[in-house]
Amino acid sequence: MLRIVLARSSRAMSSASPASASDSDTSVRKIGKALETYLKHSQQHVAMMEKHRAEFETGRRHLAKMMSLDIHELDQEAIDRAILYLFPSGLTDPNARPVMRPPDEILPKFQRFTFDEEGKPEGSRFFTLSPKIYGLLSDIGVKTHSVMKFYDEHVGSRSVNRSDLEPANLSGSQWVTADKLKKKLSEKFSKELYGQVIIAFEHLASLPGSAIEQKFLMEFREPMTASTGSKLFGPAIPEVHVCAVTNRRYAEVTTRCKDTRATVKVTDAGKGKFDIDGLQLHDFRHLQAREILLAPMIVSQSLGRFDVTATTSCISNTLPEAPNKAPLMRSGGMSALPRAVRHGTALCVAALQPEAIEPLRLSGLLTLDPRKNERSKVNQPGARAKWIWKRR
Amino acid sequence: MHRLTHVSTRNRSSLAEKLRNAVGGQDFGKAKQIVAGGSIAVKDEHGEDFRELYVMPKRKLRGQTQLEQATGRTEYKTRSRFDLMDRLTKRPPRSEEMDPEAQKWCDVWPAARTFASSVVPLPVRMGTRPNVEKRAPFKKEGNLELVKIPNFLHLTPPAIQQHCQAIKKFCTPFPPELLSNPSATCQHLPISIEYSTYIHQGTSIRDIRSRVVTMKIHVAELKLSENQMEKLIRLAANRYDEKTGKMTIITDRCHTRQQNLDYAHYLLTVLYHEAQKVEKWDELKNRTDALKVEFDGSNTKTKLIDLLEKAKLTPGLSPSAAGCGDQKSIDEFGEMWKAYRNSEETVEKTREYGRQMKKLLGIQQ
Repeated sequence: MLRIVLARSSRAMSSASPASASDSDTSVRKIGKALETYLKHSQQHVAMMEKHRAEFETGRRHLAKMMSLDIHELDQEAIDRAILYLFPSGLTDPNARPVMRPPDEILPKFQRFTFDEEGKPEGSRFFTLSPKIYGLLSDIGVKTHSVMKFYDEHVGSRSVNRSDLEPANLSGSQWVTADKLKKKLSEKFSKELYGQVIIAFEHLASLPGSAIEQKFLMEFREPMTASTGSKLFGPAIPEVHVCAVTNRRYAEVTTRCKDTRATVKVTDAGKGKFDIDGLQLHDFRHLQAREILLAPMIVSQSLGRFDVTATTSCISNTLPEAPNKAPLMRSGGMSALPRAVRHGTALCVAALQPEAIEPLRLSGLLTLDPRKNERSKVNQPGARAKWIWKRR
Repeated sequence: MHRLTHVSTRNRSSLAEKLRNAVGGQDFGKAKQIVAGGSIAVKDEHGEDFRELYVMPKRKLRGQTQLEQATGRTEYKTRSRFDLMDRLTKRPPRSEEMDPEAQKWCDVWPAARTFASSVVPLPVRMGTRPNVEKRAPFKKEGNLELVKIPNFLHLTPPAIQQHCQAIKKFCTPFPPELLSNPSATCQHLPISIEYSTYIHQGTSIRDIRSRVVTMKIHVAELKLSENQMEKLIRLAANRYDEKTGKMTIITDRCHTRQQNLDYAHYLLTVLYHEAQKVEKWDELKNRTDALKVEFDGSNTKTKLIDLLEKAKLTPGLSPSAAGCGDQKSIDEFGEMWKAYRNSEETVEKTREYGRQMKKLLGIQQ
């Protein structure tokens, strides 16, 4: 809406250009109120940025003198290290820590319009609500037409390479997300418009002969490896190794539950044996413990296929506050040990049997249980318990 | 005409008459009063003059003043603000007056101090925000977050160097013999003490881990005899590491580090003197009580000697060629056997065992 008003105001302008509008008083009256406000804000922003840039440069020189560094070697990385040393902050939020960055990076950008000598906006898309995204759609359309024309002209011909008549190769990459596209174009748009852009891109990429536009398409693709981190909460699925002696596959992982840490090793081509600190499955007298231990095998339908070897330890004994304390055997509770072993077993089974990853994930067996015993508070009997209330 | 009326009304005001009477004296007042009374004889029933009617103030209105100023008829001097002197005495922030080349930062910030935005010349920003792109972190002026966190502005590298130079005259140089010969450090400094100091940002500056003291002693430097060394090793149990020859004492049961350090020294003293005691029951020591398995007196030695005696009578073997039965060969085998039994079994040691056995019996490969 502001652009429409600006467009109407710019139409009323005479031949005076906006650069010289502030110099003469007579032509300022002819500019509309909105454009006048824009020019004022633009001048203020330019002045403010100049002031901040001067401040940053002076601060940089002061920092170089403080830390005995050469001013020419003081790049942004050195500045970050110096600020990290001078202002150590234990805040866990990275955005909350002290920073000293150039104002062009850290201050919000100013939405700037471009005018030509006559004061008219550049490009006919200025009058649309989203000029850049519509420009991108136009580019995709133009390139689509050129690709189709290129293919029609050169199909069956020997003057071009065979690879140029193939569709674009997009393997190993994915389209940029809506947020990244907004940041790339410095413009806001709706999700429907983003969907239209993706559809247009997919159509262009699927055409034969679109390999000639590979470079244009890859500008809006990003490699898939950057976003294929572990989606599991807690330890990731371990790698599979092969034992050189027995020639059997095995996987090993370390996990925890409450105060119990378990190192679990699951071996393929086994008989369903359990060896947990020297104990077998029948040594766990509690039915709940046995059910917990067998759950990953049941979910992945691999009873009797894997051998499980686990060693457990108490986490409290390894803390530096108690180097000489008599070690506790176990303090995580009755079911903490089976649950820690179960989590490790599920991760190793997922590694050895990849088709069972989805059933195990849906069952919740691959997720770490982060719950701990809550700390007792003062002025009350426990962590949250209070004394019985009496009226008088 | 209106102005003229106003002027004449003012001339006849009672206030003016009172002022003239006060200034001029008695005669002057009386003369004026006669003239006024003679020209206009207006009195009320009580014989007093009528009070003047208020119509407009006795000064130029603002509109009139502005009109005169706009048309250039009158020039008014613009006055300064009433608090001009107060605003002039206020000093701009010190950081704006700093010259980065001329000043030394150690003189500006000599000791630990809370962050002061007017003194620190760095454009530091700190503070989180829900929308990162729309807002920058908060600036340093009036930023309470920067005041809360600790700062090391007093420990810049030039400041540390300056402090080291200042205390240099109180220090002696490090002995060059220890620098050139690291192994001599064990002889001259057999005891090393480790502890940790923690820096906190929370409500308490104390850390329970600071009281832990770890003392490591080179046991060989205690100059103990063989029996005393064995007793010390037995008393130390798992605190003694045979590979490195060091004994480690960790104390954490006292509240302060100094108390833990004293306790560690006390433990070392007790161990040292206890190891030197000789009790009556020490003489009752058997072979099975030794820390390591000995070859002399073992069943293996007895069986080995019997085997060698039988080997001499067997015509198939030629033990005399390899010098079997020789005490030197048996001692060599004993050394190997002792190392084999008292350390972890490996493939190489097992092969060495077989090789020594063949050599002893004179069996050719």
